[in-house]
Amino acid sequence: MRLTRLNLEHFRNVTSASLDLEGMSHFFLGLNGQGKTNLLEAAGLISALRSFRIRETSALIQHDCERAGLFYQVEHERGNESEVTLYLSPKGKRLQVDGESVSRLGDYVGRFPTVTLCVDDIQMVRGGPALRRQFLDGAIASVDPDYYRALMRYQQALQQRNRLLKDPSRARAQLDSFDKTLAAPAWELHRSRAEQVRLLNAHLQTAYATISEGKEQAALVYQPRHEPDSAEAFLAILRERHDRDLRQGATSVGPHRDDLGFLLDGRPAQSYGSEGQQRGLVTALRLAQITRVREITGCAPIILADDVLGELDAARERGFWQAIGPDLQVLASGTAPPPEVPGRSWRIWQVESGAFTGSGE
Amino acid sequence: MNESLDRVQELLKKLPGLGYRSAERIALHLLVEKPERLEPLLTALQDAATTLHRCPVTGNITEGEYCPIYDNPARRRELVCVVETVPDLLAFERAGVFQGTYHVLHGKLSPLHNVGPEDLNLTALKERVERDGVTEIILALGNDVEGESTCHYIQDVLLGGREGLEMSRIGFGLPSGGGVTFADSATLRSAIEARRKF
Repeated sequence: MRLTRLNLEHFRNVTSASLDLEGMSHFFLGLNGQGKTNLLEAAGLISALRSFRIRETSALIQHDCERAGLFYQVEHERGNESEVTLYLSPKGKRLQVDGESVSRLGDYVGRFPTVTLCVDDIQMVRGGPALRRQFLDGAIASVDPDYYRALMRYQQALQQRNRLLKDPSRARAQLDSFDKTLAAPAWELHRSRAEQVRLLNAHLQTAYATISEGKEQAALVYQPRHEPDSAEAFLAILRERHDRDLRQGATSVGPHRDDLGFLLDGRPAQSYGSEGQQRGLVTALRLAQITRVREITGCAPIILADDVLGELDAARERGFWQAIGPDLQVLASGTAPPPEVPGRSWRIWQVESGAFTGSGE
Repeated sequence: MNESLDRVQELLKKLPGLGYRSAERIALHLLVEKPERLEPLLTALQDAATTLHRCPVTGNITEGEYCPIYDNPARRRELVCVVETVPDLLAFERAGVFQGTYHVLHGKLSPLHNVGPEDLNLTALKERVERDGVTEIILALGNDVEGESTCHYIQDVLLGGREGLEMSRIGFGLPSGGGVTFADSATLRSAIEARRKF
C-alpha cells in the first residue's frame, strides 16, 4: 500500500498543506517543533483513527479552530485507489471512504495498515506493562476487527464491573451477571494475544538476528497472570476473586493486567540489556509487526519512522533497511539528512512552521 | 431576545429527538403561526398525563387498570417477552409477530449510571411468573454489555432455578433482506450461533 497524497487542514500546527507523496521514500527534515512528527501522526491516523502520541482528539485540532480535516489518497496492491477523508472535532470523528460515510470503526480498521516507529518505543522495554499492552492491542486491533470489537466490549464490561465493586452493598447480587458478560470477551482477548505473541515472537527472533548480526538470542513472551483455557475457566477465576475484588474496589484479574516480556538470552532485557540492545529489540519488534501485518492483511503497511533512524548504530541501521526491503513506502523524519540506503532514493521535504516544501518544487 | 420564547425553546430542546432548530420551529409554529393549535395540544397533554399510567403488571402505559395487551384474552399470558422500553414494545407490536404479553423493564442494569435491580421493573416480573403460570420468557434486550448483563441477572438471580420455565434470548443476526457479503464478522457469528433447522 502507498500513500500518494496527503492533505492537512488545521491539524496541530499545520494550517493547510497538500503533499504529493508519489514515490516510496520521503524524508521530512527540519528542526524540532516544526511539524515533522505532526505529519507522520496525521499519516498514521488512517489506520485506526488513533494517534500514536495522545488519546484526546481535541489536541489534534489547530488552536482556535473548530475542526481539523485530513484527506488521503491511497494506492492498494489489489490495484484499486481509495480516498479517505477524516474530520476531527471536539465532538468526535467523521470518516468517509470513497465518498461513503463509515459509522462503525469496527468495519474499517485493518484496511489501511501503517506501522509507526518512534523514539519512545524503547519505553516498551523499560517502562511499565501498560505500554506493552497498548502496543499489543494496537498491533492486533489495527488489523483484526474481531479483536477490536472484543477489546471494546471488554473495556465497557470492565468499567461496569469496576463501578459495581465500589458499591459492595449492591455488588453482591449483580456481580455474577457482569462476570458472565466480561468472561466472553476476556477469553477472546486472551486467546488472540497468546496466538499473536507466539507468531510475533517467531518474526522478532529472525528480525533481531538480522539487526544484531546474530550475537544474542531475543524473545518475546506473553505473560498473563492466569492461563484460562475457556471462557468458563475465566469465569471461575473471576468468581474466586469476588472477596478480594470487593475489598480492592477493582477487578484484579484479566487481560487488563497482562504483560509482555522481552528476553535476551533468556534474561529480562529490562534489567540486563544495554541501551543499544534495547533499541535493537524494539526495532525488531516493529519489524516483526510489519511482517504480521503483511501476513494478516496481505498488504504492505506504510512505515512511519519518527526520528528513530539516528538512534541505531551503523550495523543495526544497515540490518534494519535490509529487513525492510525496498518495496515498503517509508515516511521518515529527522533533524539531520537521511542515511544512504541502497535501493532507496529519498525525496527530502523541508519542514518549517507547519509548512512542507519538497525537493524539486 | 424574548425571555418567554427562549424558555419554551429551551424546554422543547430537552425532549428526545429535538435539536435547536426543531425546537425553534415548533415554538414559533405554536405561538405565532398556528396559535389555534396550542390549546388543543395543551389539553390533550394534560388529559393524557392524568389518565395514562404504568400497568402494575407489565410496565406498559395504559389508561385502564391493566395494559390492553395483557387484558386481551387472545394474548397468551404464559408467554412473556421482556423489553427495555415502551418504544421497544411498540416496535414488536407494529411488526405483529408476537402473540404473548410483554414486560417493560424501563431500563437495564448499569452500575456506571447508578441503575441497579431495584430501579427496574423486576419485582412485578417475578410476581407474574408465579401468578400467571408463565412457561416461557423471551429476553428481547439489546446486545450491549448492559443488556447482556441484565439478561444474566434475570436468568440466574431473579428467576434462577425455576423448573418448567423456558428462557430464550432473541437472535442477533442478519437484517431481513440483507446479504452475507457485507455483514461484519460479529453479525455473521451471531447469525451462525442463532441458526435454526430448515
